[in-house]
Amino acid sequence: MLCLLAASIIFYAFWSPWYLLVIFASTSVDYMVALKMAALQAQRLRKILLWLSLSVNLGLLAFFKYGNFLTINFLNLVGSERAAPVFHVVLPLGISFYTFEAISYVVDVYRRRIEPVRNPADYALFILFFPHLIAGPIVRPGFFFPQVRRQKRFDWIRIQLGCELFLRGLFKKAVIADHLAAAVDPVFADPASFASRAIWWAVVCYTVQIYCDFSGYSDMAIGLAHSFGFKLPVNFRMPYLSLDISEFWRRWHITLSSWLRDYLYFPLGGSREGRLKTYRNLLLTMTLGGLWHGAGWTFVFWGFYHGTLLSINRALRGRVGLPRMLAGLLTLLAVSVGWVFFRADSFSTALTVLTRMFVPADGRIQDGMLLIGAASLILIVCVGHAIGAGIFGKFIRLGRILPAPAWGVAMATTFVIAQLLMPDDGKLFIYFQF
Amino acid sequence: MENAKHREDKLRRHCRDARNATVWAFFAICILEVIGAILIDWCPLDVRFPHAATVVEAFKAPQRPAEIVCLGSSRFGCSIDDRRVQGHLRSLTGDASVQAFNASVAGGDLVTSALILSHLVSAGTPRIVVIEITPEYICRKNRWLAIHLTRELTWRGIAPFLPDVISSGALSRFASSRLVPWYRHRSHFREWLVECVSGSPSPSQRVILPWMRSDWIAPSHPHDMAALEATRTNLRGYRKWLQDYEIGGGPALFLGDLLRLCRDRNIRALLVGAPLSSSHRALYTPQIEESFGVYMRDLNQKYGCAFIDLRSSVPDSEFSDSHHVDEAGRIRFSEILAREILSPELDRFHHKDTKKTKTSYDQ
Repeated sequence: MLCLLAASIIFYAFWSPWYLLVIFASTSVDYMVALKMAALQAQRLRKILLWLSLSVNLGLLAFFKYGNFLTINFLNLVGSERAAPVFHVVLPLGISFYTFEAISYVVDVYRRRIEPVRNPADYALFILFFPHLIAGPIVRPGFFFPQVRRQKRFDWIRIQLGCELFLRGLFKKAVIADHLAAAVDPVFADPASFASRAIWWAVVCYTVQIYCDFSGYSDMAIGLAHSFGFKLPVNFRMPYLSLDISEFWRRWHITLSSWLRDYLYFPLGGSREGRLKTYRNLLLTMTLGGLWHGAGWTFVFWGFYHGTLLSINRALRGRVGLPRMLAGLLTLLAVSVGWVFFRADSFSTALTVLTRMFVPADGRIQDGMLLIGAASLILIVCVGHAIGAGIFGKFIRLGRILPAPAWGVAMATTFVIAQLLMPDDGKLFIYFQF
Repeated sequence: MENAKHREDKLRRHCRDARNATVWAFFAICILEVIGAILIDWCPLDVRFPHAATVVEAFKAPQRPAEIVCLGSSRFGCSIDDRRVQGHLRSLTGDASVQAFNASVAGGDLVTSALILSHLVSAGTPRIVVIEITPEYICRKNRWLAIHLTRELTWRGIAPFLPDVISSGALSRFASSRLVPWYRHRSHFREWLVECVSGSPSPSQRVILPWMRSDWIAPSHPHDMAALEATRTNLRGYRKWLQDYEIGGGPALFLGDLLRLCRDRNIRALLVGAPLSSSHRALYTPQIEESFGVYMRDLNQKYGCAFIDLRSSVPDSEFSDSHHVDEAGRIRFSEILAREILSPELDRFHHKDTKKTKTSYDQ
């Protein structure tokens, strides 16, 4: 465990040794607060400690992630003519993710759902464990700590599974997502010059790109963790096959949506206090979820948009019956429209994209070869989904039926093909910025 | 009981299969990467080093290849206008057929020069080869190594650099180029595949170096803060390069190869110090100059090649940065090279004077 912790610290220090201090500071506070809270009986004192920990975690997040955003908007709100000061702070890597993990730990201890960990190294590993540190999955303490305590044995089955998942993630990210970016980036950089069909293509490509980028990272993280004897929660379950928006959120970024449900939506009252309050809670939860993604109004609106969709879905549940195919397509369309706000760097860009999507317009189109390439990659994802959904019959892992040497060579070949097909200008994972 | 035993057997079998598959995958990856590292050494020049391929192609284009070839980096690329040199030589020697060819490439040094000359001689043997040389080029620590690993070095070429891979700051590039070649050289492999399938080089491979265009004018000094800062950064980089200066390693071996090739093919090799601004020349400490001078004399004795120091031949006002001349510097240097270096050498050939003549710049 100590080796893994040391490796995680080195991994983080490679990016920025100074921000290790930030992560150590918040980790120390949470560790001590949890211990103290468990020892106390007085509810008032426990609550004060909880608020102390929440303030430190959210304060750091607010300072690093939302400092400029809040300042600019505050000055705009009060009508100040002074130019907003810009703080040149670099966002600590993975701060959004580890803040949520730390909050879930302190809240769970406060709710007496879990016992606080006595060993500070265990807690540090929970926060710093490098496969999930940067972009999730967001791990719950109740899921992670039992694994820390469990005796680790060298397990070939887990190693093989880890390698397979890592390769799958690498392929999704490096081959599919990064190549699709070539069809997306120019359109979102200057949407007014592109024709409607080019815009549609870009939106479809981005819908697939963000899925492959983020689920690819999650697969790689889960695979790596498996190789070290840890299981991380599943983060994606073929979300684009959802038949409604609520199902989509049960399949997309599952660890975030379940975190928002348990630590925000339920404390707000969930669906227990009448229909209107349920809608309010959904809107609030999703809007804050949007803000969590990035300090920008487009992200806030994206969250609000999904909150609205969830509210509409709740209002219409059981009243409108659509054929499965139509319901699936409508959900995919609604999600894709939402991605426009997520991808656009401003509202005006998003509105231009949406206008040109739904009002036919002439303009540039992407290069033919690029479109063929993008279509092939999307087809690979569709086939993968079809196999996963069992359309071609019961899904059997090839690893179980192929002889071991053949499967080994197949894995090696996939690895080489993934290397060979990586674009020359490799891109960072989209979720690294959050 | 029976069920438990069955389950245990199944698990054991599963575990054994997983181990076998993983071990097979590991060895298959190692073998495939080794194959990749061998394959990349066979990669055609136009795929892995398109600039060099363009130069070789241009050299081969005329019916009679040029008898004077200049090998070097972008410094020589900017400094030598081969048409102007050719014009001067024709009027000075009265030989209207004399041809000069600038075979310099960006980011070139002795490793690149050796590679290019080995390709050029297959098309025709020049009489005179002018080789750009400065103290940093023969330094054991080679700051271009990372670039060389990608575009020209093979396993055989890398060997002499191995002891200095870390000090040259190319460890990660070396590791990726040789241990995961499918990743590092992915664009090369893809281009090669396209070339094999289509039978002709892809258009992206036809890269023309700026100084090969007849209408090209060397850039002048941009006189802005960004340019000043870029120059400063550049000088800092060279200062670092020249720290703990020691001649030897891969660069010296490649220079030896180059001079041996010239000797074997009866080519007159001239080692010429490229024009540098005073701020760049100031980086050469007396110790560096001394060891550089001793080494040049050794080479002269061993291979009979002259070292001609033209580093201070262009005034500072004619530089676009610390080590690239502008158009005025280009005109000046081309004339100096033609009048004072190449013309006497050509005269020697024309008069069939086998006795070694010394130019005013010989050391």
